[in-house]
Amino acid sequence: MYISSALQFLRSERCIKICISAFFVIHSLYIVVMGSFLSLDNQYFVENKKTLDRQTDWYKELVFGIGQRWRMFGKPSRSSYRFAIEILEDDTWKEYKFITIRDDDPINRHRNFKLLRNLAESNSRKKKAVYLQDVCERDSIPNNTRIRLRKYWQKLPSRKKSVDYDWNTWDPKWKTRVVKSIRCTS
Amino acid sequence: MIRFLFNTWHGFLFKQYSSIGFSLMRIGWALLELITFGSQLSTWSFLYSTKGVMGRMDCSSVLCNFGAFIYSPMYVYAIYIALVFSLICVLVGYKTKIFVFIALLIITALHDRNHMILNGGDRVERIVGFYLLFANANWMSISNNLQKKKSKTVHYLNSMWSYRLLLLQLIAIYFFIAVHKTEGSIWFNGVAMAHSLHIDHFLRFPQFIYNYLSPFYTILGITTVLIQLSWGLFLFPGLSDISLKSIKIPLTVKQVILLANAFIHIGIMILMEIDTFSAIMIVSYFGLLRDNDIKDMQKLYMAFSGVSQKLFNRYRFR
Repeated sequence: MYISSALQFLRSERCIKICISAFFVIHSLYIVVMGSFLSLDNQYFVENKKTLDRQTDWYKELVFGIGQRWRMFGKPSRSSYRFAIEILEDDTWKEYKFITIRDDDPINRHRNFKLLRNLAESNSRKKKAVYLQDVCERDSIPNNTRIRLRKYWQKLPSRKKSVDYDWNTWDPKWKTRVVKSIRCTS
Repeated sequence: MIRFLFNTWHGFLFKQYSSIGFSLMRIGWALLELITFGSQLSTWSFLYSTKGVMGRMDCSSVLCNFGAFIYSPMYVYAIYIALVFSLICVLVGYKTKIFVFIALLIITALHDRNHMILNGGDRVERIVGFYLLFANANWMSISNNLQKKKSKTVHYLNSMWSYRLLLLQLIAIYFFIAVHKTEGSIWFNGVAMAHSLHIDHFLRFPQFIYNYLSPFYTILGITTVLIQLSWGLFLFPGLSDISLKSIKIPLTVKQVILLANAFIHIGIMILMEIDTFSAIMIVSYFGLLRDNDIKDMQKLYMAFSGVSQKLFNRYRFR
């Protein structure tokens, strides 16, 4: 008797509306808290390299929706990046391919470049090696050839200094470091 | 009193309105996802399988492991086909909610699998997909055409609660970004714009073109912050629906805010390599179109087609 009436209630429009109302309230609170200054530090957000190796809490996404610290767009980045692939020939490293974002195909170039940027920042040696091995395979670089990935970056002047700066002459020095070196295998 | 509160709450969440806005958002979302993921075919195996940059050990979340078989490159391609098929079904409006769910599940799994390629736009794409799960986006859909053939009446209606959630999410995105931008002075003295337009890997054109824009950095920065702050007006529904006809602008406050933000995103898309974010934000605006906005759009379309027809006739017979 009680079970059938409970089941009837669960199927009723009123019950569905109560569930939707509860979901609406929880979800709205979550949006406001996640988007605001109160957002938690351990949440996943895409532009912070420290969280690159973290996974999304998928169950939170399905229940609450997706939280994101939107403050990351508040201050523009000041760093530019370029990359180069170098090959060891006659005991000297020679530049084989210089990679800037505009060299890639128009639709995928930002994604591919983002991967390269994040790989260079990542702690995973394995992923960097896989990237370089992929270059060996795609470009048919001979077996046992040593290749390496070099990162270039420049940082624009900080905001305090740059107020009276002539923006049109901005050309900070490019700094560089070797990210990873491997030997191509077939 | 309780009865009044209940009725107000009920009207706030469950009032019906035209589903054309969410349907346009559905079409835009599916197209954008098809372009984003469809174009990854040549690098698909490298991005998501064990053959490529993502190794088996990288996968730790449940969703990432979903159908643990997706490690091998061959099965990763099967996932690709399933995703493209689901997105085509969403585009044409066949069993929309089921295929949005499947597409969203696959997209989330792929994003979890390789989060090194993500940007803010990918995040919003998932948010928009999440709201499509709940909304009735049945305008311009195959399912409805089939129903019509069976001589059933079809209603293009949606409940307000999915609209309100989408609106709140967009307010949170823009308003909080704008509030963070008001901290300090960089957005008010042109420095922030100068920073944005000097980051080599974001620039679509050679640097000297952006240098011509430098006299406008300050005004562009201030305008951007003000337009984004204006999303706060949506928290007062009566205010955002005010018509501006009294000052000879044939739009409401809401339409002005949406158009201004769309112009910002189009500007960003032209000047910088931030395509996904700009495109998905413009797509999400379609979800905010309500009955009066749709009518205004129809009027605009009629006026435009009338003018173009007149021009066509005028020059055709000369």
